[in-house]
Amino acid sequence: MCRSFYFPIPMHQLIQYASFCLSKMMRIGQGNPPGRVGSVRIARDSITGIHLLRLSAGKGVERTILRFIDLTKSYADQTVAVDHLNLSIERGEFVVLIGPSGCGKSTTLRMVNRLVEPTSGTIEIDQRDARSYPPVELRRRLGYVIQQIGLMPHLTIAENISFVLKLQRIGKVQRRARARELLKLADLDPDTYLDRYPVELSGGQQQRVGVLRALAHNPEIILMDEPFGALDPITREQLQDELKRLQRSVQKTILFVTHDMDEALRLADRIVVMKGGHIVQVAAPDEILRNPADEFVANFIGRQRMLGRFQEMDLRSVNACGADSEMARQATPAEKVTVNVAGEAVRSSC
Amino acid sequence: MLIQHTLQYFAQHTGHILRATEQQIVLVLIPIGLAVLIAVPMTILATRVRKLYPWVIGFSNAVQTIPSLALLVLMITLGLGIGVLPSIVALFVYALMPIVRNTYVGIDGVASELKEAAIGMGTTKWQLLWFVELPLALRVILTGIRSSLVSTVGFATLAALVGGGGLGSLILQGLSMASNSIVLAGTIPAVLMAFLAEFLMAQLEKWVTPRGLRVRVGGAGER
Repeated sequence: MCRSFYFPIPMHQLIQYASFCLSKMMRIGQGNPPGRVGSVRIARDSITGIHLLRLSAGKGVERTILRFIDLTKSYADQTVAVDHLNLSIERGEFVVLIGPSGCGKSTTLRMVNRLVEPTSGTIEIDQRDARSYPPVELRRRLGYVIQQIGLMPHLTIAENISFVLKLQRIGKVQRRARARELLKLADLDPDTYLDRYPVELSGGQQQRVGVLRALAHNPEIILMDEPFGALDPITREQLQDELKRLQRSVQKTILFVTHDMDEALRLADRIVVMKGGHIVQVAAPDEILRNPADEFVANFIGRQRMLGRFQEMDLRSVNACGADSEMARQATPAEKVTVNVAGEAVRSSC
Repeated sequence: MLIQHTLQYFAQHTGHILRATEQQIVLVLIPIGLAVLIAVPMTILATRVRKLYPWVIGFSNAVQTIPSLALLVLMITLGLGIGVLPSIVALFVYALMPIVRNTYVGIDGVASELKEAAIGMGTTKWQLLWFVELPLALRVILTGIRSSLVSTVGFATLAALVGGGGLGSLILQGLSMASNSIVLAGTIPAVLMAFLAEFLMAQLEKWVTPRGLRVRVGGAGER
């Protein structure tokens, strides 16, 4: 499989970066058969005019982008937030960490961008120890969205979206063009929103901007820490749907933390259920609903939801093949299905 | 009667009053300028190195507890003699406290989730200060400078007691000659200066505050 990663960088740094990236890719390729290392090309983004470094990974490149090896975080008072956590995440995967508060899910996320340093264990990003990156450089390679939105109130929407580009000293014109492009991606009219301030937007719009901000510098991995937690249920579901759609179109790896099972089921390719710093179960949403690993997972899902979702999942697996719900209904004749329409359970019999 | 005499004094001694006003401006601007240049960076440093904070705030607070008159006399006992220099030093240390306090509150008061979001996005320490903390704290810092400035305009009239000159010398002269009109000739420009300083600083605060930080009444939020 072959994928490309883009880094928007100023022209004068291109040569330097290109050689750095090449050497890095050689290292990735070392464990693989020769001739499969990949290529580095300089491309110009047609819309923004930003020069991009395009790394095309060869076939030998690992699918795993993020790996936790015996990751542990304990504090001075002997409390262990994360206890020997092992997990591999593939490129383009949407992984949701879920669990009750204090289960270590947020801590795990924050160790990825080194807001929290692990006590022991390793995080590998692209086969490389995260600690080998300077924190600032590491964070600029990742996208980060937090619950409290965290938009800068003194900056306009355009400035907020392109904040990371500003940190990278990319020019104002290019930053604005990138913000415009991203607003279009989220179906927000750039001319209306570019020069507004966060206070002039609703909560839902603000968090849309928060998500766009994490995409501005084209990171491979986006970390999201309960991003929709503070929104009302209807807006939350809208944003979940938009995020899922966005993720499919931009093919990013997303590590998402939540305590809301509905959200996890709706978004995840794989759900990681955590408790007391341990992983209790890692599975696709469907699988978790069918075969919860133990009583804890079952209770966490909730009996009610297991029943309701179980039927809905059958419908969804049909949906995944591109069929709409009407077709899905035909595909499961004489069966009672629960269809989730805009967050409301509607029972219908076919 | 008094008004008439005062106006007469103004008319007859315009040059004298202007010179005193000039001295007064120097007595205000130099200490305030120094206080801003020293207190703001020191306090920002104290927000990073917390151990420094008790010393920074402690010193500026302690100075404030000394009666202003005593502080001026203290300068003489400290060996600075009389004249403009001890006045400027005294006014400078007296001006520190509001600036230190507000700078600390302003920087420290920047919402931690904003700082975290910024750090999580990859700000360096300087970028965090420059792009996030300072812009958000600027209004509070300016308020501190404003209260410092206004009180210094008043305090600076006392500099005349240690030979620092300024409008205070007119007031002292009036007092010794038992002439209210001369006292007023010193007082009125000082009061006007205080008002002007207040007004200009308020304008500056308004000017540097981006639209996104102004409190919205009946906000244009939901749509």
